[in-house]
Amino acid sequence: MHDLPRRTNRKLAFHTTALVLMLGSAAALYPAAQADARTAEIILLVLFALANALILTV
Amino acid sequence: MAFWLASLPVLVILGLMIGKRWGASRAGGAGYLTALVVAVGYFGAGPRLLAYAHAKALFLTLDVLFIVWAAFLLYRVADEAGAIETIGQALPGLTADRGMQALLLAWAFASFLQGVGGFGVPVAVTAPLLVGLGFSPLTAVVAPSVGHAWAVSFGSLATSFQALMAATDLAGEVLAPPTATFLGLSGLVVGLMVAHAAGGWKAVRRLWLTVLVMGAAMGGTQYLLATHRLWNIGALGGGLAGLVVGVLLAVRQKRDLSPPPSPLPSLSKFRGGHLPLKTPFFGVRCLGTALESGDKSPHSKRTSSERTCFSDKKANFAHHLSSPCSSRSTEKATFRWFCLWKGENRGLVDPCPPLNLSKGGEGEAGEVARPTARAIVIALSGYLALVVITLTVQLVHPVRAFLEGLAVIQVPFPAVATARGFVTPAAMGRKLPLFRHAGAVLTYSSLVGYLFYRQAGWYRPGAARRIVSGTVQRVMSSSVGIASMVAMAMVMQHAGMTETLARGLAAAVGRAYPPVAAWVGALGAFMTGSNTNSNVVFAALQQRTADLLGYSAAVILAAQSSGGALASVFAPTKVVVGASTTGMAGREGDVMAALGKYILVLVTLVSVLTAGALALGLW
Repeated sequence: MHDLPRRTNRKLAFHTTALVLMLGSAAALYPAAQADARTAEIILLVLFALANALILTV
Repeated sequence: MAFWLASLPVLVILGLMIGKRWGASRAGGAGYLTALVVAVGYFGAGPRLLAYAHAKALFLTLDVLFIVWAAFLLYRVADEAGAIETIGQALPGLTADRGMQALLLAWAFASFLQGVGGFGVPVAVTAPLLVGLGFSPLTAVVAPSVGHAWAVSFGSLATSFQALMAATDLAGEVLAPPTATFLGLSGLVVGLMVAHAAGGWKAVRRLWLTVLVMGAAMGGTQYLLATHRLWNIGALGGGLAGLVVGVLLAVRQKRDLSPPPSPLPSLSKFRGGHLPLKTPFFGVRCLGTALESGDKSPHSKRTSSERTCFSDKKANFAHHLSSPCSSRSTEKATFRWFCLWKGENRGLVDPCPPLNLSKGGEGEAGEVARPTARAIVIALSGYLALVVITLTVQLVHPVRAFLEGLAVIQVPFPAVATARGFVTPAAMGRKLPLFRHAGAVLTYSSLVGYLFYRQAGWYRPGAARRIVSGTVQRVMSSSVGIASMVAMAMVMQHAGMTETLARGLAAAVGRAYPPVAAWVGALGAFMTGSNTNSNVVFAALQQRTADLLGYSAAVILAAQSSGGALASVFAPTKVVVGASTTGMAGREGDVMAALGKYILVLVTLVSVLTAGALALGLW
């Protein structure tokens, strides 16, 4: 993807980061909820929300 | 107050996409954040409830994304080999009847492309072909946009239909019959609309029987496949059937004398550089250059009429042909011959010889070689592999059982409740049989297709890298949009927001809900640009409303998906893509005005079918 315009590469990087964050935090939320780890749940939910906020800046 | 707060995330998406022209990924993110704030601030959703809602959303997202990624990978495998172009170029030369050309390209071929790809591919590929055949840029966008609308739900290898199943937990066997029926009947009307767009009521009167025969083949094939657990290849099979029947009818029609086509504009209009066509892939300069250098007709010895042909040696023709989905290099030299007919037309006219591709040989000077039968078979091999693998996995029980047993992901979810007392009962999560999943089948087909094309020598060096990078680049944005919207839908569902909306709708519309269902789906697709996203956002709401009102959920959800499919082509995001391929950027309003009339009729048809199906007690 080195031949893509810089703006396209930046957008792709943001989207990839956001997607990885969303999927990763969602995956971690299941065991956190099973263990009733309130703090972990909140941190992971905030991460998920931040990933969505990141998309808004693209 | 509760109803309006519950609808706020949807209204945010609507406002941002239509009012501010935001893409689905950004608007989806905004919609999710709105849903989160409302769920926590008003509806009393706690961290534990939200944690399980997001975990459920993860499985739904993976279920859908596995198909989206693999489907586009298969498309890229074929496109990189030039298979799509080869198939497309074989079609125009079969008939001189422009209405028939439109039916073959804008209806059957576009539906086939929707079946195998989606993602705006049908219009992006067929619109430039239609322009090259002499159709106006507006017709070239409108005809395939309408032409593939009926194939959206079971297209993209049934991504939208899979999303409908995922969002409602209803079995495909329950949802497929009404959905395939509504879309099949709509498909017949779509064929008439394509004929109308191409040649007015005259073409409709001339080709109504052809439309009936092709439509029956396409709709019938899609119905048979969808109702026998083969929904993944529903639209693909329907499109293929349409191509086969259409080709046979075109060949039969060619034997008859058809009235000469309308004379193309006089060449004298072009002196001084005024052009009737403004297409991005050959531009004003090439045509002007060719005209100035005089008659370059390779076919002038064949007829008594004057014909001037010019060649476009722009290396990026192939890029524009499949733009914006193709990331093919611009180094490939591609020749295209455009013929402007001047003078008398005697008998059958072949207005434009098809593109000469390396697969069929360069041909001699003055001769343009069409794709050979062998080339067409090779071009189709990737999709034939998909059909064979799908049939094997679905119908051969030992294979199915073996793949299902290899790796299955499914986890239980406990009951959760909001602070206001809304309870989501305990249930098993979405089941993901990794090696039998539709996405896995598509991946196997991609590998087999890649090997076929490589063996045939259809790839340039570095093809594998371009295929992968092209896939990642193209689907990442829509993946983010899907992930956000699925999360939004799950948060709304678990917080009781969907229930609030459903009760409000049921109270407001009451027994008049059945005809409204298709419009809800259409609204969702118009907002999000995607039948898949519409199903994700609204399917649970529609199901719940149907349950509250005592209607068949299967019929209401069929209306949701059908209305969404038909209206998705009218979404601003889709229209922008289509318009850009024919040089109509900036005139999207014209395209929407022309498209809107057809889409209104189609969605109204689905409304009527929904009311009729419920009144008759079908399904």
